[in-house]
Amino acid sequence: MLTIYYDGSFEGFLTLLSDFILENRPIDNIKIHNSIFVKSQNELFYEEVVSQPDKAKNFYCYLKRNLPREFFEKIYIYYLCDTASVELSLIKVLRQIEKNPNIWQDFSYDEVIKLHKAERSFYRERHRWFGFMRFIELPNRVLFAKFEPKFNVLPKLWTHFVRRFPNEKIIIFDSLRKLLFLYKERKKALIWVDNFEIEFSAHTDPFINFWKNYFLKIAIPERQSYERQRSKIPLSVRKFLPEFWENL
Amino acid sequence: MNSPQILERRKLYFYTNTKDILQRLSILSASARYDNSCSSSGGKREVHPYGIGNSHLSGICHSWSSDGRCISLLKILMTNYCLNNCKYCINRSVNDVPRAILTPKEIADLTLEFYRRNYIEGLFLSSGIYKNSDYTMELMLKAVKILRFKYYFSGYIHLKLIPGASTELVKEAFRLADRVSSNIELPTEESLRRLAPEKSFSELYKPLKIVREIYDEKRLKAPASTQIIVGATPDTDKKILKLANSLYENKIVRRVYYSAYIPVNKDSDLPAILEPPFLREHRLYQADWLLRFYGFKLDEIFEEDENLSLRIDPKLAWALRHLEFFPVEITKADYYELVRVPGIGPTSAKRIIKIRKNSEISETTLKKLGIPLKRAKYFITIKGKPLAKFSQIKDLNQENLCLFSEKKC
Ligand code: SF4
Repeated sequence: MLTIYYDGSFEGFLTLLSDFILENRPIDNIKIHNSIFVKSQNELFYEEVVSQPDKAKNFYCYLKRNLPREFFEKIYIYYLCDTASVELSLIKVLRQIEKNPNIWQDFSYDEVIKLHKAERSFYRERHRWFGFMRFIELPNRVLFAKFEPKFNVLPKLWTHFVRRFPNEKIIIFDSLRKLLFLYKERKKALIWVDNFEIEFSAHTDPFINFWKNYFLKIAIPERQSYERQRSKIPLSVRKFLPEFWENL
Repeated sequence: MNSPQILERRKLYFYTNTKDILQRLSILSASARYDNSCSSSGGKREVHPYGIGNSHLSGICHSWSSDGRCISLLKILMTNYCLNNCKYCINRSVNDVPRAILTPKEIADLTLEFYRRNYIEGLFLSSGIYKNSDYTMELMLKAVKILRFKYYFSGYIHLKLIPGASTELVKEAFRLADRVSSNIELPTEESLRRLAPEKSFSELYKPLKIVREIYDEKRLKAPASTQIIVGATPDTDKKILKLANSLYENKIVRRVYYSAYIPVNKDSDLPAILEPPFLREHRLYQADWLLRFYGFKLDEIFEEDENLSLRIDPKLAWALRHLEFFPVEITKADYYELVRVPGIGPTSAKRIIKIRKNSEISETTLKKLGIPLKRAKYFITIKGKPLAKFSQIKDLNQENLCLFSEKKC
């Protein structure tokens, strides 16, 4: 069993795909890991794919030329489904597409189902964060939010907030992947960072208390159902939601 | 747009008055919580160049309160002072409860600041009747005007139309809000007279009719909604849904909300109940969906009884009365045939139709794609083959009926 690691960047992802599609590396008995989530354990047989920007770019153009447009646009989404382990499924589908150009929509093929499911849960996760993202106002009126989504949704999420708050200064940090989004006066940046800490005190934002209070009062006591609440808001996201914070 | 000085002043105001605002916010959100008609979907506003906010077509839940209900709007009353004395309402004039009022500016500021922090999609503003209907409506409109014209706020706004407010004010409310509503409250004039003596059907309908008239898209249902309380009077489910259906057919409202009667007052005209009829409310919503999205007719839902079965959902009940309609062949059936199958809703039906365009359909494919067949399997065939013994449903008895019930038997 050979374990292959790539660095979690889109370039790394494309370099990896290129190795298997254009250079036809064998896919039997391999495992692929995104090293943001699974670090190499110095296994007996392991390999690290080094991102090669030129190779990645060429392969990207190759895909654009050869794939149906709708499928081509999904490739980036599959990359963003970074904890779904769909790399191998994608490779298998891409390998057959020359022979069978419609395979990517044939649900009798298990790998296609895996990709399809990952894509659906990606959009579901993004939709959840449309709602769950919580900004804290920092003293200079910057809106700051930190979150840890299941998939790498930030590249497909920031437009929602920029469209909604075009005149605000915004910082969003995916602290799991260390991906940072910055926005101010119509300029934006999405960058990988080693770390990012912001010191703030929840006391400086009076609206946190108003919100917590509203959250408590709007519930109808006669209808109480913590079970339903839990099914909608998993415990893992609650640390990002001020309404669940201990009293300030 | 807000200048930095205005923003600082606003923040300072909320800092210095924290305790007082917290208290009023508590009273006015607790008094607004019994209104169910609170969803943020269907808005289409785009952000103003100097402003803030837009609305998302499919609606977004920002949190879920401890009753398991989605929070998407700041749902609040302008005031819970009220001249009226509706017997089922916590805010009725004779009740000795803490009262409060928020100013239009406070409402606008709270909405804006909640919105900036992504707590909410917008505002749902209602009110008790303070001084008189027009005065109340004007106060509410003032809050909305600050939001729309001073803060250039394009987020979602739902305004309750105050019964008895003048035509001009209703028109203005409709222009400024994404959705308006007037709660019909009870399904018959007679029930209304008993429990809400100051209200009348014609008065509650009037604002909805004005909205209908001025809404340009005559083909579509007006962006208005209403709420009916369930279980405070002896009215049957059929009566309630008949009313809802006629509101839909005449395109008066886009949605009817049902609200299980929760006893908050003591009164000899109110029924004594052990538990609010939440399951009945749920069944009414299910039947309402059958009317709106599944192509069911009212008479099909009430073929035998004036009330919906509490034990099984109305679609399953229909299916069991109409076994001759089944089995439905999954590879060929059209949308309306598919959604008649218990366990297959509009989403699954649409997915099945999409999938079968390019793929062979099998039980495994459907299962792997996450299309639930647990209930559907008794009512379908795939390429002519049944997935379960069809005969099983023919001689249903108490025991295997449990198979279909949502609750464990
Ligand atoms: S008018 Fe509205 S707030 Fe006033 S008592 Fe009746 S239901 Fe309650």
